[in-house]
Amino acid sequence: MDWLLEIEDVCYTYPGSETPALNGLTMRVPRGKRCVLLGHNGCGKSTLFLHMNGIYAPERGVVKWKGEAFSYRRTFLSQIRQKVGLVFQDPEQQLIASTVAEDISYGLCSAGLSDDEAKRKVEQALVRFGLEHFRERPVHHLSLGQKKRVALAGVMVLEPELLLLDEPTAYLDRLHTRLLMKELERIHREEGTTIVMATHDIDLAYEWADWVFVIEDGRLALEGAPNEVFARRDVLEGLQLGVPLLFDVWEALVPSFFPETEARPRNVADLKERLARCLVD
Amino acid sequence: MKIQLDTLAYTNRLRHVSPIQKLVIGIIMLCFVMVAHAPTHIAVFVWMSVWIVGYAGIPWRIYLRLLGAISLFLALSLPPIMLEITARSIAEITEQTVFIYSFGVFHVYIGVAGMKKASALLLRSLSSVSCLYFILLTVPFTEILAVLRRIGVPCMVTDLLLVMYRFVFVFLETVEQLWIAYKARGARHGFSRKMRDAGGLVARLFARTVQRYQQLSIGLAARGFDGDLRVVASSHAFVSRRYAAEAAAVFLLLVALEWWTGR
Ligand SMILES: Nc1ncnc2c1ncn2[C@@H]1O[C@H](COP(=O)(O)OP(=O)(O)O)[C@@H](O)[C@H]1O
Ligand SMILES: [Mg+2]
Repeated sequence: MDWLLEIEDVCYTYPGSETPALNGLTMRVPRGKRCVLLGHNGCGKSTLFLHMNGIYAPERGVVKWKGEAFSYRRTFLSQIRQKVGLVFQDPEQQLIASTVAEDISYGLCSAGLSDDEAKRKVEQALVRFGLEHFRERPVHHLSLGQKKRVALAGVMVLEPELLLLDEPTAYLDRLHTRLLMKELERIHREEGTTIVMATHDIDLAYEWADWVFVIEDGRLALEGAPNEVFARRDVLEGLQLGVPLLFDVWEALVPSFFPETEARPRNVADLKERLARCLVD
Repeated sequence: MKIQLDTLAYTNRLRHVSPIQKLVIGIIMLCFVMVAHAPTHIAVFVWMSVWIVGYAGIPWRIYLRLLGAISLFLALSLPPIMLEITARSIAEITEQTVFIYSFGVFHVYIGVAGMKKASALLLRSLSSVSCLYFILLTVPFTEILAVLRRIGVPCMVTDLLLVMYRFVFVFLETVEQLWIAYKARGARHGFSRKMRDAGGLVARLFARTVQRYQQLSIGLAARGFDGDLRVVASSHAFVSRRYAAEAAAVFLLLVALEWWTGR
């Protein structure tokens, strides 16, 4: 496989804290895949993301971009931050400009787009995230979920090579979660963006991911394609993460309704269709 | 109050009139007030209020509250201007007095001249405040910044102002969250307990503000902020002919009024 970003044996302890947040973590992000980072609160997901775009430098170990170790010099950092887009868990943390449209346009000018092009992109992003009506509203008038959508739009409009999403669905309702997933699907298909999403929604992870990382206490506990990772029921139960509902349901159906060799369904619609077919037979 | 000013600036009916036009009107009127005299002040105040409540559609209740807040400060500053104090006998006070109060050898009084001075000051202040409110209530802060940038104020200054402005809201939100959390978790009764709680809240507010400040700077770094904050101005502002015409005509009338009453 082709690795976009590699984390090798990285340790990091927050100043004033006794236990390390990252404790010898090693993982590699495959290029062009939709990855999910699973783990409990406090296992170090957010800290890991801050290492992936060079905000924090590891105490031990290295972070590599396409095989080249991070140098942490100014020019290098500003380049890496253009290539790696990070959407924080708390949107408040990254909104800069004061109106929604202005905030989304931030970064487009520095990326060398003309004003007209930038305006067109902003307009597209507004529509895709359902923000057309908030165009001219100041950011501090929005609800948390709306702010989150502005933050997502502002980072995704820049089309980074690697997109890091820290619990992106945390404040979103069903409609906007679906809009977000559709948008992720689109940029993954059209731009070939590599995406890493931190979440503890195991069902969402199963439905969406090509590649799964499980993190526990600042280390990598499991890694692999979803079918392999979620088949390790013993490890997942041990970590109190459990397995996806769909996985469980399939396991209950398999010997009696479907042959064991049949591929697992990845979403509810798929399962329904197969059940319908099975019942007709 | 700050939040409200800002909200109105973004939602008022003059939002799409070019910020430069509004700033020019506001600033010219402000300068005019500085050189004009009492009757003109009243006219300026009335006219600016028409802009604010009539054209911009700011609810008059809010406008009155804003004026009330300022009037309170003005009222507090008037007594030192009006009151005179003297140790001479009452017979020696030559000017006309409106009010007099004596204790021992001292007499405290308000003279007619003092009254006039104070009321002239009050009118001047109110009319200049109305011009200022016109700017604050109709031009959003970011557009003021854009204009500053255009007339050549260094980007570093305007970006700093913008980040500070964002931070003011982060701060205010932290205050509000803490306050709501305090009330939701059962604010305690009794003065001394309340004061102790308030002490605790202020300490936590400080810690939280520092933390949020750090987070905001991490967030800015992640978006590649390196001191250059370029955004595409989003609003399609236009210069309104109708407002320009009215502004010019009324301004000439005001100058004429000033000349006529000042003779
Ligand atoms: N600013 C901080 N100062 C000290 N400790 C922190 C700070 N941020 C996070 N931690 C600690 O680091 C660990 C990992 O946190 P984090 O990366 O935020 O976890 P996650 O995002 O997976 O929930 C946690 O145990 C947390 O308590
Ligand atoms: Mg986190």
